[in-house]
Amino acid sequence: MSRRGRDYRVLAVDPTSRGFGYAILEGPEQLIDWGVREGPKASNPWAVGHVTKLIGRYVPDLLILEDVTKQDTRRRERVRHLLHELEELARANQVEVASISRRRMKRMFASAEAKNKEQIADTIVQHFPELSPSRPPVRKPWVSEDPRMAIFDATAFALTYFYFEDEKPHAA
Amino acid sequence: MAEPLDNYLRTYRKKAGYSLEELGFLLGHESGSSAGKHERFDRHPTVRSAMAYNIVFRQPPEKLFWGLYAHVERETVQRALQLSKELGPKSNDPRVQQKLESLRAIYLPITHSKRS
Repeated sequence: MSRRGRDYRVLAVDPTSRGFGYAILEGPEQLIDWGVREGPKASNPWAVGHVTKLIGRYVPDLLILEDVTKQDTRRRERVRHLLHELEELARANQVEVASISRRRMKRMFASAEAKNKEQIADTIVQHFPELSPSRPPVRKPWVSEDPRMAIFDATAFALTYFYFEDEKPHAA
Repeated sequence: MAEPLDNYLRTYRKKAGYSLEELGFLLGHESGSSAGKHERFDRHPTVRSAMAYNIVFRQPPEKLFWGLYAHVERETVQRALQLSKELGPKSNDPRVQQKLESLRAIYLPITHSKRS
């Protein structure tokens, strides 16, 4: 029987200005753990240390990160370095890496009528009601993004991976 | 593919919305420290705590402690098969037959489900 991606345990990480949000799923229907880790200031070594602990605890098959290789990415240099470091960390721990573009993620959720971040977060709460207490209030334009939105971004990337993995033909 | 986790206690605690301290209180502990160690797979719960987890989360042990349960099941089934062989499957002694029937009840459901 061939391995199927949709049965994997995946760790999805989404960097924030002071840390990262994460979600761990076993398949698209089972949310195992989720949260935000924030330090006093942005520090890539600090973030890498915490992701190392998550990898050690959960031994995921796959690390899912945002694909920032495209020129139109809005991510800062520090975050792009962090994503690269996390990729190297995964490979050093024999964990596969899947990079998902934000464009692809938005396209997947648009097919479920979720056209912006707030609607995507609401769609995810419908799918995983246990995330409802973590759902921040709808953001006002003059307020910085609540770091808890990174949980929903991470979960969104993970669900996008499983969605497209499901569409692939698999060997019998 | 990754093995199931030893336990999914953290998952169920977060789904229920409890802090570690609150869960520790429900389990009858002085603090959330032991529950934290269980969640980090640093320590197995006592039988009493395992029963309390079953009651708090309303889930059977094979779900709460999936990986650990699968591991114990594998080892126990292996020992049941070994003991069956040692007892002599063709013995006419009714006491041996009774043991063999009990041992079959251990391993047959597992070995049959693996084949199907």
